[in-house]
Amino acid sequence: MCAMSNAGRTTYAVEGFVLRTEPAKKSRNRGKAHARVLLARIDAAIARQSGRDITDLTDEELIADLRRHQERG
Amino acid sequence: MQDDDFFVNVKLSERQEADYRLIRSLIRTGGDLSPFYRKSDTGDWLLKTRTVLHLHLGGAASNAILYVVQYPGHVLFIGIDTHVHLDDVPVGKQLPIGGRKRFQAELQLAHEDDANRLARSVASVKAGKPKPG
Repeated sequence: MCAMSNAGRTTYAVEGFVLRTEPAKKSRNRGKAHARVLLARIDAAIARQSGRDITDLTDEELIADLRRHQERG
Repeated sequence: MQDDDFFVNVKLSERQEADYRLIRSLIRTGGDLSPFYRKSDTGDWLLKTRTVLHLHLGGAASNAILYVVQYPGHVLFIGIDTHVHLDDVPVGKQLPIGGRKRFQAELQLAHEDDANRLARSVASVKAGKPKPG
């Protein structure tokens, strides 16, 4: 994770995502700022896992996937 | 795109499976989905209140419904079920929303990432611009 100062804000690049915190002046203690960055990092990890691209599945793979969900349901 | 919580609660016939395949192909190529859509007589409250579109698999009278949400660049498949979510009070109250929220957060992050990249690009162009005079 790297941090850069950007017009009073801190920009964090986390696992490919760019996340901006609140302006540094509002962060009165380091603990809060740290917590916020960690939270952003967790959100990024969740976001990367959300949804599944089925665009490139072949028709057979798509139907096999559909039947797997059907069996679970 | 398929929701993380995608579900299938209906046993589908071959025709319904073929329609599912066709809908995916039409979305990929920008085709017309209107043959799969039938607005209910009392108005489509699921679409109006939760932006969830329902598409009939296997004909307009079918009780196998594909629930989807449309975004500017994506279509999210929520699940396949009967009319139950259209008949719920309030409509769609049992549809899972966790996967959808995560998906929307991902879109938001991608948008912000693009906006940041654009801002950096503009700043670098401005910085390299020769001073007048």
